[in-house]
Amino acid sequence: MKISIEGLSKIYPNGNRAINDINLEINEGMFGLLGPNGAGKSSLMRILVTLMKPSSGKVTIDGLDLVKNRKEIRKMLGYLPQDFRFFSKLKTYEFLDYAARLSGIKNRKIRAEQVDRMLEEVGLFEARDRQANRLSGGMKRRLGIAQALINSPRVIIVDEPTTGLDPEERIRFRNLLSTISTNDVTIILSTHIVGDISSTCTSMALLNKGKLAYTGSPDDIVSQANGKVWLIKATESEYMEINEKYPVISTVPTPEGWEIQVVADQINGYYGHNIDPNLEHAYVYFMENQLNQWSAV
Amino acid sequence: MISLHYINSIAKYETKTLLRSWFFRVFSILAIVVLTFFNVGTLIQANGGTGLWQLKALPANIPYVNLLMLNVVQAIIAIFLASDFLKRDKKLDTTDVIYVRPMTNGEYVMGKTIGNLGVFLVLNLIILAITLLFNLIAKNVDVNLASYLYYFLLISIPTLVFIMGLSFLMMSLLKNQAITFVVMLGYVAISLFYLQDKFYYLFDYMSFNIPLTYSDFVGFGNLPTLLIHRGMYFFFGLGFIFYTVLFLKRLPQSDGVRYISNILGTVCVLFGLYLGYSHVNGFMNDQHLREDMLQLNESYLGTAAVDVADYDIRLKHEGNQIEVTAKLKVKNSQKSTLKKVIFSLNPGLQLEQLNANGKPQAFDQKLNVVSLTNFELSPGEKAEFEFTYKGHINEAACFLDIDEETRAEAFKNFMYQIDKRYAFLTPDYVLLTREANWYPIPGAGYGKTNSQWLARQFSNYKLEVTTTPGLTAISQGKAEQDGDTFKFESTHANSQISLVIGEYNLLEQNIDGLDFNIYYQKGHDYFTNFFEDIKDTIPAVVAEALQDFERSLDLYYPFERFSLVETPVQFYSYERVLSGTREQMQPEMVLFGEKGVLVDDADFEGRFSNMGRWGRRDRSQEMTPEEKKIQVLKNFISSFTRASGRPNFSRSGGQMQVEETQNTYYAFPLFYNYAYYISSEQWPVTDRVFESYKESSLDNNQMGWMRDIQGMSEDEQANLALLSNSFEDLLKDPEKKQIIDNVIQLKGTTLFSLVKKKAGDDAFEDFLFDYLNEIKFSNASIEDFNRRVRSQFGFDLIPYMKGWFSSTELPAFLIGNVSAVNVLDGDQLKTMVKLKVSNTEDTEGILSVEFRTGGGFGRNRSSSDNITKLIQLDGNQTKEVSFLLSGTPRGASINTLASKNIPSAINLPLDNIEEDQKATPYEGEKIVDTPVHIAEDNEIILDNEDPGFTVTGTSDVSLLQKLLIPEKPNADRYQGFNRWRPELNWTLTTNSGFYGAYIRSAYYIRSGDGSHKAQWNIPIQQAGFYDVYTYISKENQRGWGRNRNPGEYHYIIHHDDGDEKMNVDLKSAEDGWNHLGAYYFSPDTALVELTNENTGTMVIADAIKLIKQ
Repeated sequence: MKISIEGLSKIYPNGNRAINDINLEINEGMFGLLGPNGAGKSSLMRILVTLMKPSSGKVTIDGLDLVKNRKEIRKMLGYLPQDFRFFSKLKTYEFLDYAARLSGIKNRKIRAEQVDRMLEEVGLFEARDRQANRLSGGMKRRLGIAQALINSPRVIIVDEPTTGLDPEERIRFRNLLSTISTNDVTIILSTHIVGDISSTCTSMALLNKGKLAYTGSPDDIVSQANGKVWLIKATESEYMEINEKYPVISTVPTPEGWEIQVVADQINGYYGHNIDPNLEHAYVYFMENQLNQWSAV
Repeated sequence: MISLHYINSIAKYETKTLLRSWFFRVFSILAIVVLTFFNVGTLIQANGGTGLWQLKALPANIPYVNLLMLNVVQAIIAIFLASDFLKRDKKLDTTDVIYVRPMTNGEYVMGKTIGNLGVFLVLNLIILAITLLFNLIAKNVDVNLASYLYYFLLISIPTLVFIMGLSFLMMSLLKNQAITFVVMLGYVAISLFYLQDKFYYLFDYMSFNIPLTYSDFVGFGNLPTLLIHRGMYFFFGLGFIFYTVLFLKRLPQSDGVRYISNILGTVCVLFGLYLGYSHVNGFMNDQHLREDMLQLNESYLGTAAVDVADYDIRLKHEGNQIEVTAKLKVKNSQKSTLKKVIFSLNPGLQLEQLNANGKPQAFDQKLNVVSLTNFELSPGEKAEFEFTYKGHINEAACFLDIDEETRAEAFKNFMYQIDKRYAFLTPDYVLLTREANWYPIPGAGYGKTNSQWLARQFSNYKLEVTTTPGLTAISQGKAEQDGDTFKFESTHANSQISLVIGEYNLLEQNIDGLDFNIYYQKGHDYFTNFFEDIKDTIPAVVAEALQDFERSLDLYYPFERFSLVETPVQFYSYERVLSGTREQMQPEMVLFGEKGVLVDDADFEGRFSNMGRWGRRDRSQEMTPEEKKIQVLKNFISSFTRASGRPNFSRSGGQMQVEETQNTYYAFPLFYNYAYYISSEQWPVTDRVFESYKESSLDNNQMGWMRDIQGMSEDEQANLALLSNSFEDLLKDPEKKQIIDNVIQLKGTTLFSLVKKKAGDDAFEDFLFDYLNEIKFSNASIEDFNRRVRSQFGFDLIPYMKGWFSSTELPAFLIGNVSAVNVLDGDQLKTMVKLKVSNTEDTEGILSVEFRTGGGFGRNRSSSDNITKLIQLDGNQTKEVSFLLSGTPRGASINTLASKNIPSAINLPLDNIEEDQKATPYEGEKIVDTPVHIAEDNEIILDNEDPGFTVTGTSDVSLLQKLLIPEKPNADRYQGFNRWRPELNWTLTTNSGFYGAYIRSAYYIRSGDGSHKAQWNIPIQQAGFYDVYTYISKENQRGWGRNRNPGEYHYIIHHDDGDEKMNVDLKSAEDGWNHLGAYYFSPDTALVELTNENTGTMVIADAIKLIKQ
């Protein structure tokens, strides 16, 4: 299963260029799509799930053209949008049954088995008769992923799935996605939460202002930030200066002043040392770097 | 390839969602509860458990009315729920997870549509099932099972498909439920409250106005029109649904589906448009046909017609057609040669051959006119024509004289609409009257300036009808049946004949030498069992009712038989200005609407039951069941002897209006119109005047209560109309259609009163009785009548009639004080009533004085106890008149007939009549020189009609009021007196209780803060002290309901010593002149004001009188 994106652009009727000439290859496994709000992630997601037409460019999924073969592509898709609620009048199992029906599972028995299996898998079997809109936030997310998985899709696209979840639910959700990704399935996880990607994805892309800023593995992007992440021990008077000069990742007050993490090539004139970068550091470094480059252009 | 799986899945969950919606649940429960109550009320409990007649008489009306009620509400609910699905999915962001599924847009929209539609249709079926249940358990109510299906298909499905399709489409286009809802509700409101039946019901998508009543005889009144109309909405709805697929905001999955949706949407909408065009075009074609016919008829104006002495008609009924051979023996009764002989024949009938005197004759058939192209008839010459024609009846050609607006008026009964049909020609049922022009009638038909078109000719008719086995033919004359052939022949001439063919049963009985026949549709005998107990008494009851009616009319029933023939409910006719007849009334025959559904008194069980229920308050409590049934029968018979039908109520200018309607089944035409005809070329209304005069002797149904509702009776309106219009003008004025009967009666009474005055009351009545007997079933003219009057009474009517018809001049009467004393006339105590009357105009006039001498009041008072006296006055003449009455009158009513006096009827109480032993009994009249003075020499009276009277102040009307209450369209000087809701501004009105020389009028206004004033500027010639009086009519001040206190009036008298405020307490005020005090006025103008301040309902400003001390 391979998703190939060539020269993809999306310009809205108001002239807003949401996606700008993106070229990307996505293979099986968990693929993370990272970027700040407004980077074009959701637009890309909506194009990939056939909800929106690209302005130009081409997308093929397993060799099938996204525009010309919508029916076939929709059959292999599972989609969990970012802000997703349920019909207030349907029960949990009914909603899944509806999704199963619309996914083309005609046989009633198979459908019932599939619904029960999914409910078991996402841990909602006990809540099968509850009104879907009365589930807790985490349960709703699980039901969401269940409806996305009900037809055993080969491409699963999840948009900001962990937003608003408590840490326990978030970990559980990440694990669920990781488990699924082992089954010859491509999962595209769009998020602005860096931790979701670092803990689950084998490859990723970084989007910023509609452009592709980076594509590769999370480890590669982290290694590129080696020597660029600094821990500065700053006095009260330096604190404001540093804040204005460098992109600050974290600030921790100490009895002597502040411990400030920044990304920068050099920290001339301050007392500090390099630390090992993580994906969050790399993300900030990359975004900062990209901004500077584009500003120069 | 469309996947039923997807459609079914979406439909299933849409249904589930809808069924769990509280909005839908509440609506459904309410609908079920309301309609259950409705059915319990109308089928189980109404009329003491016998059911509501308007529903049960024609059982198809039961599902019709139920679905109609449901449909109006569900059409609105469906808008909300249908537009809700897109919004619901969008709002919950659920759309995305649904839209990424592999169904096509077409499958998605279809599924949603079926889900929505299915739920509503199931609700409709539940309602129908409940209705059917009540239909089954209700006592004596038939079930028309097929009609349940018909109404489901014709009302529910097209409405729902259309409204859902439109809602889907609007929602897809507008993408906003609130806007969609407002637009759609606006559309519903406009179609329900404004468009209604306009443009031939074109916008009536919920079939609220289009007639859908189903007859047991012929089914729907006009099935093709219905199918076109309902089909139009069905296809529009389908088209909109297909377009929704096109406009759905989801990337299409299949271009093929998109393409097909586009094509199907366009095809459906185009087909809907075509059906809409066909619908309107059908009506327009009919209208154009009538316009062409009118033009054609008009072109034959002045072409004299032959007289037909004999008709010999042989008719073969085959399917939807008739084949006819009609032999006519004609004569040219004109004084000149007829260069062109013309006949009229329904344009649906094609003339195949026309023989004249046995030889084929060239003819020209154009629309309804058949003209012999090369045939002349010399004066007095006779000829025999033989017409051979066949075809159908084009009903559009009927009632050419009726304007399109009147034609388009609804024919409504209870809550349902009935189609208007003027003739029937189907394989199983035929109903043809003269209006259908199914046999040749000499001359052309109605033309706008042709006033002779309704002139009747009496001819001998022979009719032979061959029809399908099992069907019965009914017509005038003695009937003979030979297999499938029926022969009819009368012993006398008739002015027209009619033909009815159907599956009839016959009940017949000879009562006092008269053959009574009841022809009813098989299965419609709901009366035999009911009247079983009194069947031996029925002949006596019928005979008595007939004799009573004959006695009242002073006319005998002219025919040898009377047939009550049940006809489809849709059979309809219009009131006419120049004839009181309706097509339901035929010679010796009444065409009675199906099961009497339009007649309340045809509900025998219900009336019987109600008699029991109301017995506690009525003497019927003491009646035996048999007596009650006799009473029920009498009530039913009285539905043929009442002139007025159910009144029409409406609102105009924010006020309640009530219109008198003619009782369709009023039997009077059988007694007069089909036996007598007095023609006049100069005054075509002549026969109608005779008719009106004979009818007026019945004195029934004078809707006095109308005055209490709309403030002015139609008689008063007629009188007002005659103030500025001649009789001739009013006959031509379509705006006066509603009151023309009253005008005719007023003018007729004036005319005949004049003759009666010359001839003597009884002598004239005897003369008229004999004269009518002589001319029965023959053609007579006003000239002939005038000759007879002249020779008998020495009075020439014709010269008077010229002015009577064309002049706008009217007499004006001043009526002096009426005095009454009891005197001894021999050994008998009599009452002598004296009065003085002046006619102040140049034209002569007549007035009648009616003395009420009988006992009792209100309903129990009999008009036969009254004594009527006539007073004739030449122009500018004054008479003192004295009447000697055997009984003691309780009051007198002076009717000034056609005069300048408004209102024409003035009631005068004659209370406390004392004996005067010195008075000499005298009856007679003498002409005196001194006219009636309404004011003495030392009196100055300023009435509201006089110069010097003004009113001030106008109330602001809010924009909302302007919008909701449109200004009254009429600009009549006098308005009705509305005591329930007085006007906000001073309004001029008339009433016999008001002061006035000729016009008893006053201004009235709703009570207010005193800012509105009435002012009397009274000229003063001589300085001095004057007693000031105001005229108050207490009768008109009576409050209603809780507000019974009339309050007090606030007067301001501006005199030489300043201003004096005087309040008059209306409770203690006198009826008439009330003293306001004595004041000094210098020679100039005295000003008296009355404000609108009052705690009562209204203030009336009438007249002020000053008497010099």
